[in-house]
Amino acid sequence: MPKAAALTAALLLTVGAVPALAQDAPALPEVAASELEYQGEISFWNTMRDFEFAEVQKLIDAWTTAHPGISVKHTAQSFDTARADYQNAAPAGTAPDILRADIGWTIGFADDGYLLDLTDKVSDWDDYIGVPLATATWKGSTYGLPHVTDALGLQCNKALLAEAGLDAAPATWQELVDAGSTIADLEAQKYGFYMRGDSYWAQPFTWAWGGKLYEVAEDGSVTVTINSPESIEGWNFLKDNILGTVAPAAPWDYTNDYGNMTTGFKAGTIMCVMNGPWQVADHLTGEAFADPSNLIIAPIPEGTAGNTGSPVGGHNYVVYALVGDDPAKEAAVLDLLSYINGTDAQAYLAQTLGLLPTRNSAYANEAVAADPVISAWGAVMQKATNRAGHPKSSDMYAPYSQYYQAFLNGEMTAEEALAAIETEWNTLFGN
Amino acid sequence: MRSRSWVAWVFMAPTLIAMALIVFLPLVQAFVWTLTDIDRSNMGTRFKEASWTFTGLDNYVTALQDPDFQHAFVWTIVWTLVNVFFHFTLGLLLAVILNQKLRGRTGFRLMLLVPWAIPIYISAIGWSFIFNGEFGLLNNFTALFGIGRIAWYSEFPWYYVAPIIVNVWAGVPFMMVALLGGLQGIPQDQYEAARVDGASRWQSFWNITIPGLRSVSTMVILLGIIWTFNLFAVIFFTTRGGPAGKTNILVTFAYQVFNEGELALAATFGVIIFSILIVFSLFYRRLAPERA
Amino acid sequence: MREPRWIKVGSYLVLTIAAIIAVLPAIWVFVTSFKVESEIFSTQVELVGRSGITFANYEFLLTRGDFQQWFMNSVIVAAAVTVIGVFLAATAAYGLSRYRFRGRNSALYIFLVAQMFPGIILLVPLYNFFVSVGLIDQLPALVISYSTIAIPFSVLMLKAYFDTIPFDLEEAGQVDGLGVFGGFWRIVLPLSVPGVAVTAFYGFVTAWNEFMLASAFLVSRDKLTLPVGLSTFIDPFNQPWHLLAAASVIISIPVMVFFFLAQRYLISGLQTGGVKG
Repeated sequence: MPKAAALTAALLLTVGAVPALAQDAPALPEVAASELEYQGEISFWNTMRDFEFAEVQKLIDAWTTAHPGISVKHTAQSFDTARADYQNAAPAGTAPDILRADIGWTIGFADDGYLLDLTDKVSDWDDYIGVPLATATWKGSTYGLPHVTDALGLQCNKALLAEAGLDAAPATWQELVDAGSTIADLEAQKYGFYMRGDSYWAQPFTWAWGGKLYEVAEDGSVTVTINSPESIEGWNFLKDNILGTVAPAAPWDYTNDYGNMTTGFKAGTIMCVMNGPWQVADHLTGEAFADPSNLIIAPIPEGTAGNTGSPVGGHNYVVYALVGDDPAKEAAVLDLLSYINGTDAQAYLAQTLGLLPTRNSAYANEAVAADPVISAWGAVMQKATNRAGHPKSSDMYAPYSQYYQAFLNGEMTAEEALAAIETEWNTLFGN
Repeated sequence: MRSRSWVAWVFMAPTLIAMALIVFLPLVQAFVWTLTDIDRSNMGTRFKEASWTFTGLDNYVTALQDPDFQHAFVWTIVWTLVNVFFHFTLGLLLAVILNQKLRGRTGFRLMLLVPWAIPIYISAIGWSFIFNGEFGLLNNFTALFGIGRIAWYSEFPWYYVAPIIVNVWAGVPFMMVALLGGLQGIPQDQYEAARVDGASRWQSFWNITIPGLRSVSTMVILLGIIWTFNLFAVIFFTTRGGPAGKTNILVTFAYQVFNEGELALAATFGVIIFSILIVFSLFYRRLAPERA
Repeated sequence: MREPRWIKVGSYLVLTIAAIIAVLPAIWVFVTSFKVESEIFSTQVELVGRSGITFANYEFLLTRGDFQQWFMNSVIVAAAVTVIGVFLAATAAYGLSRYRFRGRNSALYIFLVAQMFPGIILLVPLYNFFVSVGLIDQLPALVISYSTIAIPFSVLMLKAYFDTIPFDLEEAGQVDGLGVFGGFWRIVLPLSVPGVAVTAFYGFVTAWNEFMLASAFLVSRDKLTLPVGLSTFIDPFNQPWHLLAAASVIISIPVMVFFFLAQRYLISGLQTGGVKG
């Protein structure tokens, strides 16, 4: 799987840098003047959380001010249900004009015909970074504009690292275990690490030991490779060394573990967690990070032989196919997108929310290039692993989580669980 | 009783039309769909042509052979029986107690009605907060008693126990009220006569109270079984069917299948669930003929 | 009969324990709704957070467009369902109660059976139906669905209630010149307030609490009803328990008020329906 190496060309490679979101609020980018025929409403489902949503709202307001006569109905749609909602709405003709779609959904929606083919309607494809752009491309056409990219990184509490005898984030899992066990007190709910029962978080434990999940060939066929000695080794390492020593032993509350992990990390009772850039702004509101320099961002630790990896995620802006029936509306929608997803807008969101841009030109922006948070994430992205796109890729995670949890609970061995996942995925992909 | 029966049909018309359109026709359509392989990608929309085919009874075979389905089936039965058992016994206990002249009876009754008054999904959400594995109220107490933290929604057997706790908590008041009404319908003379004959309290209970409650009990138990069997909200808002689908009852599993886009399969589940309940109610009528 | 001491003491003990169990979770959520977000979760049990009581959670919900919208949507749907449901159920129940006609027993049996439908069996075809008539993401889809779904139970309940009202009253009314409909509207209905209360309550509660159909038929955030809206608060990445607690209180209040005001009628209506059949 190609690594997200292209990103690093534009970034400073400072591992473990001191992050701080931009102190002075950057100015909203200017809206390019344009004559638009369309008068009416554009509907936009945004799956961001409140604090992120507010920033995009500012961008939208700037655009609508410059284009009187057009209003944008910008709603905060729940990320958890947005995919199902879109699938319920699209056949009925009531889907929104613009959706912020997770990269995992984009190709599926394109395959079902719900999305407008943007290939010939946008001219600056070259500015987009390869890996995110691939997530919006299916059978030679592009159906979405990459908006943000992200990956799981290791986020640590500097003070707790120091307490454990480390002056930087651990570089290998073994290091994390050794250091973490000196400060962990499971009874008192003080942890060196906190794991999730969700398979998204299990992926690094395959990659860090040199394994792979699956590969998609040019013709769309899929080879499932998750069931390998590397995965088995990684999973067993997790179970034998991490859980029960520095992190709670299984089972913990799988339903609420994301919230509990965040609560504990913010309260200063967890040394390190795996989480993405989307949570950084929230982490900084926690007691433990009143001094932002206490938050360290680093790539996922290595397993063996210098391997590591974390799943590349992200979101694309996609346009509902029916918008194409009205050329005036289409022009307006594309104009809006060219503004809110333009170079300056991406740089703006990078500075205010710490979201990673998907445009090369955005990384060349002075303020972005100098931002330590962005550069810290750059190091993470360098080691992140791209997951190849396929219409059914979103459906992989349910069986993955199911057997991963069975393994965590001791109901299946790593071999059995991984074999079960392999069987389910083969059925899913029609092998 | 009136005889001009055409007027009856006038009264029945609005309801029958509504039910025909919204219940019976869709039911037939659902049944037809169960014989196909319709899912979201082949159902035919304005964007993509339909490409589904008739597959006969394949869906039924798939469903009945699916281990997750079988697991959900067994668990649904266990879930229903355990819940109704506790609903009835605890409801009966409280009804009998409340039937006495006690001071503060009304106050107690109002407090005991609280779980019934709160919307069921709100109760499930509230209890989820209490069941939180790391920080929930219950775990604060288990630590005090030296039991250690329980991962209520993720640990065996607690993920089965937790939704039962929630549903029993929410469902006892209804049974209590219905049985209380039934108790109040038993003529006092019977008890007087029994006392005169020297019967003990237990004997009165077994020979007067229990039989006297028969018609009410039959009805509320039947209702309880049907409602619990189909009860979506509690499982969904507590464990969500997790971990890994183990606490899915048939209806939540069917919903999951629907959301995965397997429309025909979801409809199949619906037909199977419905058939089970029909068969059950037929047997029930045999066993309890007093209830029409 | 004088009860021996141990029964009285035992009764009070059981009642007290039961009352505490019944009320404690509600109180805990109530208390949580007044805590500052960062103090919701702590390893100690505290009734009031360190920062004291705050109304911020309620303020947030009540001033937020979404929650208000969801509340209004639920109120609209529930009110419509209550009215339509009572109308449909009362007319059908009257027909069943007062008339012997061919197909009466079948109709009764069908209503009994229809109660058992799991929502899922209707979800797929109704979704399809509403797509074709363009009612997806519209509240009327829910009003139509819920009114119909609430019918079977309501009809059986009201019929049982009507059965307890002697026909002589309507006959007397006939003598006075009241037609069939007059008998229904002027005599039977007013005497059936408890039964109607139960039916109205059932319709209201069904509409207020239903989740499955609402989640499939309503998609835009501003069209959601309360259960679906609230479920969006519970996504794995973001569980604002401080808001959920406050929302729980706000959502429970109308139902609880309705319930406690009407509970006398509800209970007697339920008991009549239950005992008589």
